[in-house]
Amino acid sequence: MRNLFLTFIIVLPNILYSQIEGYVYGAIDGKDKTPLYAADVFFKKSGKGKTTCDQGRFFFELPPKLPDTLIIRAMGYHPDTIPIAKLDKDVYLEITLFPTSELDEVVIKKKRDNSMFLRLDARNTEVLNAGELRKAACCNLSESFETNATVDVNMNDGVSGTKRISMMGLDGAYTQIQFENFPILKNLALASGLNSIPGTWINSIQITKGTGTVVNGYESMVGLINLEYHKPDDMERFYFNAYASNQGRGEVNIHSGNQINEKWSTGVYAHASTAQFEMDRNNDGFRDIPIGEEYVFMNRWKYQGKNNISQFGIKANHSEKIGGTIGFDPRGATQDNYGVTIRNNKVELYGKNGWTFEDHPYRTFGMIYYAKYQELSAIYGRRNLNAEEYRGYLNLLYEDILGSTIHGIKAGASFVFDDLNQTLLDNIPAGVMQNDLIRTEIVPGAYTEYTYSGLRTTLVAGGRLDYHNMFGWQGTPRFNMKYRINEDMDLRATVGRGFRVPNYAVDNLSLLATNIPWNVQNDLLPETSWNAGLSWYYEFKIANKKASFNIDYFHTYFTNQLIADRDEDPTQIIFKNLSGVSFSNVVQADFRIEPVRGLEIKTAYKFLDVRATMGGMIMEQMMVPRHRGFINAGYVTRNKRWEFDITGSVFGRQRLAPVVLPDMSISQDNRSGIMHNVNAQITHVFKRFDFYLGGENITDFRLMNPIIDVENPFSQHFDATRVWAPIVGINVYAGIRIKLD
Amino acid sequence: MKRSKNRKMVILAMGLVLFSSCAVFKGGQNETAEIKTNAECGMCKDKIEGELNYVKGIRFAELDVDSKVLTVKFNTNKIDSATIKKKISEIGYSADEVPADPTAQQKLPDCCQPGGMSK
Repeated sequence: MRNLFLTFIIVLPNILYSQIEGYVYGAIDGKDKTPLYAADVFFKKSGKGKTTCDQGRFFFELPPKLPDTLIIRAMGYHPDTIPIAKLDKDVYLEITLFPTSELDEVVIKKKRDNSMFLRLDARNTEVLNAGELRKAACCNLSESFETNATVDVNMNDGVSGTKRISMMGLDGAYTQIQFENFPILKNLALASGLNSIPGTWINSIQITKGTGTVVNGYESMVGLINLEYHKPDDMERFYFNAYASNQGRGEVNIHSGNQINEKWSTGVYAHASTAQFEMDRNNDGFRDIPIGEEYVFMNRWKYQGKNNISQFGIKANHSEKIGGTIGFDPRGATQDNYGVTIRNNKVELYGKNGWTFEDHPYRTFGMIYYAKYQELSAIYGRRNLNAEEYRGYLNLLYEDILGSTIHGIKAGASFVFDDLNQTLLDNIPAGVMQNDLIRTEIVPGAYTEYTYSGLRTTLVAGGRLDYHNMFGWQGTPRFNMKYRINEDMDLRATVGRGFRVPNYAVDNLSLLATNIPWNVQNDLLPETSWNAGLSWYYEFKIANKKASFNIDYFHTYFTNQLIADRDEDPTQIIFKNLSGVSFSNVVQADFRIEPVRGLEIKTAYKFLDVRATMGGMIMEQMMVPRHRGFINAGYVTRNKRWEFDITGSVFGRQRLAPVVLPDMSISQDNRSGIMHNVNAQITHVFKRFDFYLGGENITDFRLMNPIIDVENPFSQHFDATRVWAPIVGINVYAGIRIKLD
Repeated sequence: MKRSKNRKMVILAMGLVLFSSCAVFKGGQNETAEIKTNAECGMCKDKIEGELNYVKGIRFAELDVDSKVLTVKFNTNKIDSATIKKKISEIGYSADEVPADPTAQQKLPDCCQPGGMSK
């Protein structure tokens, strides 16, 4: 059932006789859909069925005996099955079949809901689609998660203005980010993370909790976020977005899709943004947010042949952020001012090919390849990081069934090449020191994954074996299971292993925003972890209003982790292998309801218990709240021309790093306050354009004195890492989107 | 946390926008009409609603696919039900006594043609 997009669009009341109705679409690539003409839709036992008409529509009476299995079949697509019970009689089905050459994983969506849980997936997966992404129009992809409780967005430090995501209280580095199933944001790319991905380019996001699949690698240790961009054959001919905010940020996004002929299509994407106001609302002499600029460009091509699909593209990225004291100019003659300059240049090439076999409709062969060159320069005062990386990735995937579509099998081989040349040169009060990280990683690997799709049980069991040229063999077993208790309830379980090779400097770049010396031990090992989770999903009605509830518990246990230890000795940061324990226990409960037509309310509560051995004791992880609350309300008027959205978040107290204060005493108060954040947005929809106005951090919550010893930025006490809330305060923005088909 | 004047201004501004957007919905006399159409499916629903919701004077248009009844709320100063029916006809569907415009109907996808459901 993994190839099925099933949608219960509208519950149709008052049906006198039992009937089944819906649409069948073909997904060409992830989320692209075309109505499928002449697809067979019929019941397995009774044989009853129809073929779809040319809008992909089908409609017929249900067989008297239920449950039965509905089979959906079309030439060139993976057939699919879906169990239909008596209770399903009044739903609309929207079924998307995947072409036999498709490499993408399942996506299931529920129309009119902007975010939802994937009920058919064996994994705990939530999808955010374009409607949800519109709710937080501000800036870039990291903000897109602010209308969602699973992924948290945190400030990095007080001077660089960058944000990072985290899942289950663990840094975003432990979550694998994929661009249409290409693992991206590895190594140096983690420095800018999701900040370098323009929000409007994204069509949908799938967030999976747990280790997920083995197909795309071993690095998803706690979660997986897959980004689907707009596809060249299914995007607007012209899309224009302009955005401006009171913080002096301006942004332009343009994309354009063009179907050249029946087989070829191409898409061009461009993003430019700039921030040029020097803001210092707390008068500490430092910019509250850095100034800077960013350019991103992408061109992609798609070829749709009879038995193969090819896609390839190029992406280029340049960004520069300049923070630090007011008036700091990195190109200036003297460098007596404290400044932060982060420059990033990246070029990526990617492609995928899929082949199908006419006489074996379930058999596909796919190949995906990716190459990257990136250079990163990060200067924090008199600490200077320079790095250069070449990366290559190849994945070959074979997919087939064993006997029937109930048993599916995937097998493949992958190859990762990563060449890193990095130097960190410090000229701080503790002395002049240099830390180099020069390494070439070569990781060939092989994997297999078995899928069982029964009527009630879906099971995915996979394993991979990789040989790392520096760290030897790594085995990665992963297991996901879903059991459908009844029509309204699902139970899911997952357990899996993950590993990654850390880059102590890029993973902890924000720890350069202090003059405390780094003590990097030289036997750093890969990080390895086990993650297990249980979740229960329940869909029900309260006073005839649709509602759903999900609760899950995830436990992550590190068998090794790179620890940035600030507890051992507050005058240095020690980077070392874990000696002791490191774990995370997270319970999250989500409740959603639509109390009146057009209004959707989502609430969530998360309890995080994230601890590790630091300074010889089991300590709470820094910058992780124990409690997190979330509420989001979205209202769409009946004519669908006005959209209102408001989100409130509360983050509990977090542990801060102990530091030596300018009076030479060690900081005693190492707890943050309770932080809250409120965002709101109004969108007015016209036929060809939308206009939006929004505010981030509307209550203007901000830290007044985020930096320690701010008067002496080159002293040993200067520290801008204890930043647990925004410095910049309220951000009001407005924008326009113009679409031409 | 210190709060700024700026913040109050912004809340005021957003409140104003909210207020003015509500004001757009007020004024003039509202009337709700139920119009029987020959719309066949969810695609017809999207098409009719997608067109009518952008017509001046129409507050909202909502089609119930089962009963084929379109509920339209509109401002009587700006539009009347005869004009709305004409619009529906121009999209390609019948509206009560007004038959569908034949050329527009022909352009509709097969499923949306009369009887397209039972094909």
